[in-house]
Amino acid sequence: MNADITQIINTLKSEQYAVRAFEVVIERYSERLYWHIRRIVVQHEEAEDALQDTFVTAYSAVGGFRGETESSLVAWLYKIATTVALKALKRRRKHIFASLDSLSNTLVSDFEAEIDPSADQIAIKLQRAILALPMKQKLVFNMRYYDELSFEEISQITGQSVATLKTNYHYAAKRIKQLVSQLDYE
Amino acid sequence: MSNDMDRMKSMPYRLEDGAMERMKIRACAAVRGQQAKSNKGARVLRWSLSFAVAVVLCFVVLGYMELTEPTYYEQFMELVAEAPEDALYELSADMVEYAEDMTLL
Repeated sequence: MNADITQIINTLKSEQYAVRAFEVVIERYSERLYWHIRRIVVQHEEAEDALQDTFVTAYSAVGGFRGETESSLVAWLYKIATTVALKALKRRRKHIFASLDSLSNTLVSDFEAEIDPSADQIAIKLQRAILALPMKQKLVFNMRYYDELSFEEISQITGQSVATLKTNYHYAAKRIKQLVSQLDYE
Repeated sequence: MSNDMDRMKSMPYRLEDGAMERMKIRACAAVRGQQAKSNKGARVLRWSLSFAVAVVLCFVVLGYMELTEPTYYEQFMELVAEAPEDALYELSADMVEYAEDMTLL
């Protein structure tokens, strides 16, 4: 498995077979990256476009990728996906100076239209609570809880220190507990 | 407990059947499109470089030819040396300064 990924990473950097290697990467990581993006932008169409942009950007920037392990490849792809998703979200702001956190209400209402009718109620409540969080807390919570990335990997992706990420995660978890219990009473 | 965790981690978003496969196909096509675009860009760059090199070479060759060719002044002096005395007499000193006057000679 590891030898396999090392071979893929080496092939990514070769001019001749890079596209073939990218097809393997797309097959392997699309689902994880799609859900990571979707949890940020909520709408499916936007997530689909952002996923495509992520791979095109990664293909164009592969010359700058210096990693040799699967962990570094995943962190690199998540970094690109996060940047692309946040850019897509920024386009939805009413004013260019408005913060991304001002979109929380919009995201929660978008989510209501995107709910799978057969989804588990507990998962719906949790998602509502996460979408109401400030962006920094939301990102670290999603990557730690859903994608099970280590704080070191999240640090590579977001560029924040591990200590800051742990603090944000702690506040996010606390806030989610509060929000979920509030939603229970509503 | 584990079952509860799985339920919480499930994605409550609507997604059509087969949407993931379609997205993968679209992403592969987009990467191939990007490759074609970069190849075209590289071809244009190579062509532009070749053209620039050819232009520079032309200038170098022309410059070299210019250096080896006798100048108008040298040609004029040669013609003056070969011209008969009476033809030289007819030309004023001002006229002979111009290259067109060589045809008169």
